[in-house]
This record gives sequence, structure tokens and C-alpha cells, in this order.
Amino acid sequence: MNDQFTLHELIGLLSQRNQMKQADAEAFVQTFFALIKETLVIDKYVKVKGLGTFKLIDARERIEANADESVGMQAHLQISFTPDASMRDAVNKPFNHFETILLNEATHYDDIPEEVSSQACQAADDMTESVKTDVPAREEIAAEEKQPANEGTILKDNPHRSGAYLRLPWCLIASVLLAGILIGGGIAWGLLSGRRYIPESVIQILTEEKEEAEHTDTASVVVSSDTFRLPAKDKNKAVLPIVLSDAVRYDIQGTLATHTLRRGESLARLAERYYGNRNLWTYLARYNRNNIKDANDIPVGTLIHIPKLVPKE
Amino acid sequence: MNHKELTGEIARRLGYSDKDAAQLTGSMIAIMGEQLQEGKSLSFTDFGTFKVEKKLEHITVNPLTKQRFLVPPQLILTFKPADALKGMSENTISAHE
Repeated sequence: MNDQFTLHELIGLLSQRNQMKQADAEAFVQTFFALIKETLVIDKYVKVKGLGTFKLIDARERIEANADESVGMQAHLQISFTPDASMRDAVNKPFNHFETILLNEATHYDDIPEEVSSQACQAADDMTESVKTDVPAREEIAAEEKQPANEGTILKDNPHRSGAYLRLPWCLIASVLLAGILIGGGIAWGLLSGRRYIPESVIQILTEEKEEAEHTDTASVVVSSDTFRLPAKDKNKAVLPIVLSDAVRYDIQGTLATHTLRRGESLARLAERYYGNRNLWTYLARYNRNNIKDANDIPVGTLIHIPKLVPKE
Repeated sequence: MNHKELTGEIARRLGYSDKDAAQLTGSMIAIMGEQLQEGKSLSFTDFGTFKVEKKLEHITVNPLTKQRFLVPPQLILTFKPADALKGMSENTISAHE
């Protein structure tokens, strides 16, 4: 089966083909291999056209480039053989018409293990001199039958690929959910906190509905506790829509309203509510300077008198 | 040493002309090639063994580009040096030093 072709047979064939004496052919072949051996030792490199290249390699050099060469060198010498292109092709004749194919990502062969190729791997392959018993003539046929079968039946979706399809929507869903929570939380916070991020008109609508439901008296001028009532009252008086500019100086003419300060409120906030301009809080501070020690730190519950401002002419 | 130097050295040692030596070498290599294609392994005492190895169809992945390639089955010529050749090269090297 696994026939061995010996030196003796080679000599016989060579003498037969070239019409030379057996002894001459033997001398030639012996010289040929002896010479390769010798030059391999001396030159560390023999190239034989049509056959291949023999090299003497210090295996350690691959691992440790700057190793001390004087120590234990002989233990690491290896002979590598790289077949010539013509010889390689001749040997590989049955499979020469196959080409390396770039696979689609979706293509997956179940029965073929995947391996990561790298320079290191290829180098290792070159170095490998282990020999398996092979039966090319038979395996060729087997492999050629096997190849079309592979393409026909075992084309399946790569599980990793479908995993990638799943992963993307998860990210999307998660980010959408997060965004929704953030936006919803922001709206809820804006509504529930005392701060005014919502247009007055909206609040007016809300408060009007509320007042109708409660049947409370909106006529009272003093806004003591319910801040929502104020805009409604102001709207009745048609005072609020006027936004006072801070480019003009104002005179204080009497009290427009009074306001009991609640948690989270400031003079600037009151100024914005009553005058539509935060910067006019200084008039509040001046008008209430008897009640307020520090305009930046007013106790909750302080009664603030809102002055009526008239532009100074 | 390249091919020309090799055949030249053979011619010098055996008294052939360079041309004859080159032709004989070519003929010998042709015979070796034929035998290898027939599935035989060439086993030369004191030198080594040439063998045709079957490499199965496999998939390689380029680690940088993540491209996957289907590599067809291949018949690869391998050479396993005989122990004598190994020993000789080692001894000679150490003797040189």
C-alpha cells in the first residue's frame, strides 16, 4: 500500500533511462545526496531546482533572536525542506484546480474545525516534519466526493451570526427604554417639583380646572399659600402678560400683591412670576428690605410684598 | 548553494561535464516526482524520507481582517531527515566550533 521507493530503485531507474551503468548511476546518486548533506552543513542552505530548498535552521533563533549562540547550539538545529513550486504543484496535481475561497459570514461548515491562521502558525507548519501515513490515490477520490456533499448539505447559518442579529436589537431596546425612562422621569420631576419649567399658560389651564372642581373663592387678593392661584388672579386683572424689561429703571408705586415664601422659592422666581423678568428681583429685595436680612437666605414663610413697578420717565 | 553550484560540484567530483550533471540531476528529480505522484514515499538511507502528506480541507480565519477562507485539501511534500543526517549536521557544527 504505502510503497517505499528506495535509493536502490532510484538508481535502477536512473541508469535505465539515461543508458548508463548501474555503478555510475549509483555513484551519481550517492554523490548527489552526500553533497547536499555536506553543503547543508557548511552553507546551511541548498537549493535544488525542481525539488526544493533545504535549510539548516537553528530553531532557538525563532524563539530567542538574541540568544547566546555558543551555548547548546547543536541541540536546536533542524533541517527544513520547502518544496519547489514545480514539485509542489506536481505533487498536488489532483487538487490543483481547487482554490482557496473567501467564505461569506453566513456560510458555516459544521464538520470542519476553524483555525486561526497566523505567521506563527505557518512558520510552525514549515517546521513540522512529522509524517503521517497517507493514501493519496484513495483519499483524492474520497475528498472529491466529499467536497460537493459539503456544499450541498451542510450549509447552515452560523450560530454566531444569528447571535449578532439578536444582540443589536437588545442594545436598541435597552437604549430606547433608558431614554423613555429619562424623559418620563424628567417630565414627572418638572411637574411635581416646585420649579417652573412649564409655560404659565399650561399652568393656568390646569389651575382653572382645579379651581372649578374645588369651587374655591378666587376673589381674594392675598395669595397666601396656593401659588397656583396667583396666575389665575393676575390673568383676571390682565396684569401678568406684561413682561417688564430690565433695561428701564422703575419706580415703586404701592403694593401689587403679597406672597408668603415657600420652600424652593426665591426673589428671582417671584420677580419672574410677577414681572416676567428674573432680574427685577432687586426691586423686591429693596421693597422688602425691612423683612429680609439676607436676600440669598430668606426663611420659608416670610411675607413678601410685591411692589407695583412703573417705568421711570 | 544554489542549483548551478550543486550540479557544478557534482560534475567536478565525478568527472562529468556540467551539462551532463545538470541533465542527470533533472532526470533524477523527474523520477522522484513521478514516484511521489504515484503515492510512494522516497526513503533514502542516511539522508531522509520524502513523503506526500494529505492536508484536509479546512477553514482558516485571518486574525486581523476576520476573513474566513475555505482552504481546499492539499497534498504536500514533506521531508523528514534521517537521524544520521541530523546527527551529522549537529556534530559537524559543533566540530566547527
